[in-house]
Amino acid sequence: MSAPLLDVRGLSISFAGRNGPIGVIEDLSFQVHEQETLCIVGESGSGKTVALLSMLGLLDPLSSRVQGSASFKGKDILSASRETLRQLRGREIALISQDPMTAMTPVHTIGWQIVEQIRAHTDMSSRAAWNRAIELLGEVGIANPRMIVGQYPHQLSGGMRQRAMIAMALSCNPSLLIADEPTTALDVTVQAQVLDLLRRLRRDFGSSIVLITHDMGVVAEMADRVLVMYAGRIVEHGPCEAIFADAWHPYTWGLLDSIPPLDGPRPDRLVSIPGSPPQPDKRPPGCVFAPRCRARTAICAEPPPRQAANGRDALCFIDYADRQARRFGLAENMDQPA
Amino acid sequence: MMLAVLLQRLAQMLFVMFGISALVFLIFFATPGSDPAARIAGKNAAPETLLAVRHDFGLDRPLPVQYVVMMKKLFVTQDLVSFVNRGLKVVPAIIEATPVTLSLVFGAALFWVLGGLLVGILAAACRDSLADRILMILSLTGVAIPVFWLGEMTNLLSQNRLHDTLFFSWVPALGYVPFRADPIGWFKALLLPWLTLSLGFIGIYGRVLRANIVETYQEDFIRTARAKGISETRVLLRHALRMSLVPFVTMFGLDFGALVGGGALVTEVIFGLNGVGKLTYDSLQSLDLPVIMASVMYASFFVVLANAVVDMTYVVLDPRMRSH
Repeated sequence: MSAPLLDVRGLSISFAGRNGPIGVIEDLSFQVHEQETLCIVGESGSGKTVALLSMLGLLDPLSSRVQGSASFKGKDILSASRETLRQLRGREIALISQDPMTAMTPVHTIGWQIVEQIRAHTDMSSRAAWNRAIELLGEVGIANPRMIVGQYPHQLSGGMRQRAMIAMALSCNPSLLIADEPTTALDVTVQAQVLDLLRRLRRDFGSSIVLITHDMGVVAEMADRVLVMYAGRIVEHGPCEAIFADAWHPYTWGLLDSIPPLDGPRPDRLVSIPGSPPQPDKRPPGCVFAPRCRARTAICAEPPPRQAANGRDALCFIDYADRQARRFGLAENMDQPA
Repeated sequence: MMLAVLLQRLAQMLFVMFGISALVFLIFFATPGSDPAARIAGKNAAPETLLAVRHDFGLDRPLPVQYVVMMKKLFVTQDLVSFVNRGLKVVPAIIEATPVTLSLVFGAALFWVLGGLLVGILAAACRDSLADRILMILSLTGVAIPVFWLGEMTNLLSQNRLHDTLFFSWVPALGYVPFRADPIGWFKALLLPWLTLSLGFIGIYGRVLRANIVETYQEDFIRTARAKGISETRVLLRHALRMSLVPFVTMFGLDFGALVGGGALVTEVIFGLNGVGKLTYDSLQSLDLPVIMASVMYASFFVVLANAVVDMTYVVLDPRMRSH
């Protein structure tokens, strides 16, 4: 396999807290390959967004501390100068934000904002850039791009704004597109359209996509590979089909069980994971998921090992032999009232 | 579309001014237990003066008629005279004082808007650094220095102690020089008053602008702008600044209107500028009702006008306001 597009190794991020630094991300390693869609899944606060923002140098340098290494096309980006990073942002790595309602500057037209990005990275004339903006808006499926290009963000619906955001992100043909929960703020029908659009764009433009989400449905539709994050760590990683067919980590079981089944008898209520993720400064010393894990044993007070096989891995004590029994025994337990 | 908004706004202005004029009129003419004729005629007026005033202002007729007579004297015939200052025609006196005050306030406004922008933008650009802290401390100092002290100190140095040095030898004697007669003299006469008046405002406006820019930096669209790979200067000037200017403009409208309406009194008195503030102050000293009445009307006009301009500026700054 060729060298990965983005190669992150041992990334740790901490923020300044009242009593010293608070670790938010610990020892994160992952790769993104050419023309691949990697989904990062996890609850709110698991550090998905922070990890990706650090790649772009968008964390506040005064209050955050980033360690480890990340290389993009073989060049280190964590220690890169501000100017190098600026040239990378928007041109090589583009970002699509979660909430299209607030992600565009309200005082400039859609076209102005797209032109600004194009002209920041190329020598294109304003007129050519404006035409390119119209072209891009057409490519993301906006029916009347000539009209939309001169409108302000508040004049568009949420779905239209997200399309405009995507058009802007694509304006310089980036090799990596980071989409931070791009569908969370949208209606279900619009969600499907935006996902379709992203899929089509990957095919047409050949970019890699890192898709941050907490929606396992989106993962099933989009991902080539999946990273499951919990409390700042990767608890499971593997190809999409493999994880849906046979998840290794109890947290992933919980995420998968929270999807309503399409056929078969309808459950009275969906299975949920009890409790909530620990605050970054109150994470347990052993397995971080242990307090909420229904399959925990005494050994979980120790740091769990990373088990790896067949291009996938999980951060858990439960081994191959035990897995099926523990998972389905668990599901039965859950049906009974406690 | 824009024209309709403009006309609507003008109609509102007229309505507000009518309200103010009626209110001011009622305060002076319909306060129970006081005789407006005695007020207008001034202290210790002769009985025949009182009689004349009573007849002249229609004080023996119903209130609405009195209101119309007063407004006619103010705006149509403009022949309202002061009885305290015998023979002083009130409306021409105000018209004469207006350019002095306008020159003072417009010039100072230019300094404080530019100064406030500069301080706010610089402090926000290097926020939490030493430069930011120094700028904020200086601003606070500027706010804390009272105008009367600063003005007197300026005069002491520029007119007296250091007048013969290179620094201040250009400073003319106190007083106003009309722009038409001598533009350079006008500028020289007003430069120190401008700086004196604007210093405190630069401090306040700089601090407010910095706070608003720093707040705008929390917005999602700033993250988008940074992710686009544009320079940090551009993020500040083209994305953060515009939205941060709204409170700045609001404050400016209020302060500017109040100053033109006589609020620059202290500066005017200290630098010997016979503006509207000085005129109002003198008329209050001698309870000169016609002058008070006229200058209140004049002040309200500028306050209302400044706020109308502010409302229109909002529309320019924030396209979201245009649809309403």
